Amino acid sequence: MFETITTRANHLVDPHLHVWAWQIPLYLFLGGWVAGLLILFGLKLRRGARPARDSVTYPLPWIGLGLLSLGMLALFLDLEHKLHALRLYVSFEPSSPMSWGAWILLIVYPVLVLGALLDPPGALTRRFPWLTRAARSIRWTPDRLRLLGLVAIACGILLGVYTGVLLSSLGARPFWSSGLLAPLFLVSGLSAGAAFAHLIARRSDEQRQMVLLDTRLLAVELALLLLLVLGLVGGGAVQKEAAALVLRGPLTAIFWVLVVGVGVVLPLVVQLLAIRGRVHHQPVAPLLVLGGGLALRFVIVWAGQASHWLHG
Amino acid sequence: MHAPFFKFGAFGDEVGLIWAFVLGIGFGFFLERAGFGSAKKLVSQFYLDDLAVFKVMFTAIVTAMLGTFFLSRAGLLDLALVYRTPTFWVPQVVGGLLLGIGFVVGGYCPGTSVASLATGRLDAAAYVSGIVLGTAGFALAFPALRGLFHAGSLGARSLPEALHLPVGVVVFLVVLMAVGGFVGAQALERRFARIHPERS
Repeated sequence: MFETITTRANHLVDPHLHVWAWQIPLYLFLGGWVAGLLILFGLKLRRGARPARDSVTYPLPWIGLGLLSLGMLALFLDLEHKLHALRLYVSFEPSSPMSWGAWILLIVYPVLVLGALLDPPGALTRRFPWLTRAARSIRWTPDRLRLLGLVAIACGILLGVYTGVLLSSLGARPFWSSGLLAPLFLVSGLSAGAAFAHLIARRSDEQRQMVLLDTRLLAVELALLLLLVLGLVGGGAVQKEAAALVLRGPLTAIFWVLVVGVGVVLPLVVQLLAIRGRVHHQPVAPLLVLGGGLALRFVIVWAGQASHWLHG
Repeated sequence: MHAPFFKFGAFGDEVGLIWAFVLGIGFGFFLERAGFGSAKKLVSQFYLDDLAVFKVMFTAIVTAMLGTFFLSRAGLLDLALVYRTPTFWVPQVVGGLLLGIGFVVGGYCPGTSVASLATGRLDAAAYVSGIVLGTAGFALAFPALRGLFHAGSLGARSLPEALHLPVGVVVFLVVLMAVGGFVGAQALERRFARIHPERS
């Protein structure tokens, strides 16, 4: 029998963690985006009525299913031992964010499926008649719709927060060791959801609603980003070194240009101009928000892996 | 504090890219606000009935020139440290002609096409795609074009060096040329606006 003892002297961990490539940031982005879509969908259901077919909320569960599946595929590709993923479902570890995440994802799927089955589109029911039978098997009273909405909002918040907690719980990486990551990822996910809804909205009232919502979320996201950096700058020597990664280090330009400039400030300005009627609604701003959200996950994952407690 | 800031170590490459972004966004914003996001406005200078592009660009050149000249005289800017693109007159003449033809045909120059694309114009999207394809084509054809690329090397030269005149005299002459250009442009606009009234 061979026994391997792993200590901190592991080339994958010290001095820099480099076990996560593109798959994890992509998954975190898609997960946050789906969280935003779920919350928007849940908010629509609080009136106790199904979304109208011309409403932007109508396709959100279907789109959420597609995006989440893409994210799960990215997560699956990242796994070294793919079948070990099943072990996450044989127990629940309250102190493990990964265990929370695995179970949250398991709840999110049925909620999205229920949302999708509220009123399946004709193009799908003609091809798959069982969808109609499945949809009719549930009697959707206003109270049940409101309940589904509440569950969707709760799942969205849990999913959005979990993507941030997953990183911030890894205290061995100073850049991630901040309680602000959870609200930052939640707000960024919500912003991505609102931006996407703005992008696909056909009704002008919904377009205005989504622009207003996204503008407020972008303002909050900007404040959280600045607080995250300020919190690190105001910390000890290792936190200051972690902050230096985005203040003068190798991730400075990508953080301030792609994440803050292109992903938050520019769309914020463009949308403020659109709200005041100075420019027409353009797909540019929501596309920038989505690109910025993706860049945010990449920068945070890279910066966290590069930061360490070995001062100097 | 003395300029150029980058050369004196006020910031590094990464922060330099942030400044490039801020300046680029500012440049694009003012181009668009000046109406230069419209291909019709831009090509008007080739019909000589609206020379706004010529006037704005020449004003920018003169402003930058006077700014650097007076800052240098005040001891705030070391002109010797300002980067100057080396002159390779043969490829620069060929490239200038190609860019000019592209400008007339497509209605944009590279900067205005990006500013226009940001406002969602599809013709600008086609133009920018052309720039990307052209750049890729040039990169692929570079081994064959290497001779042309390095032809006519004159080093990094400035007008005062080439003309053997003091910097102040060249600055004065360029300002005179700009004033003359603006007066001439006004006259041309009046004349060609009468010839092509349907375009004004």
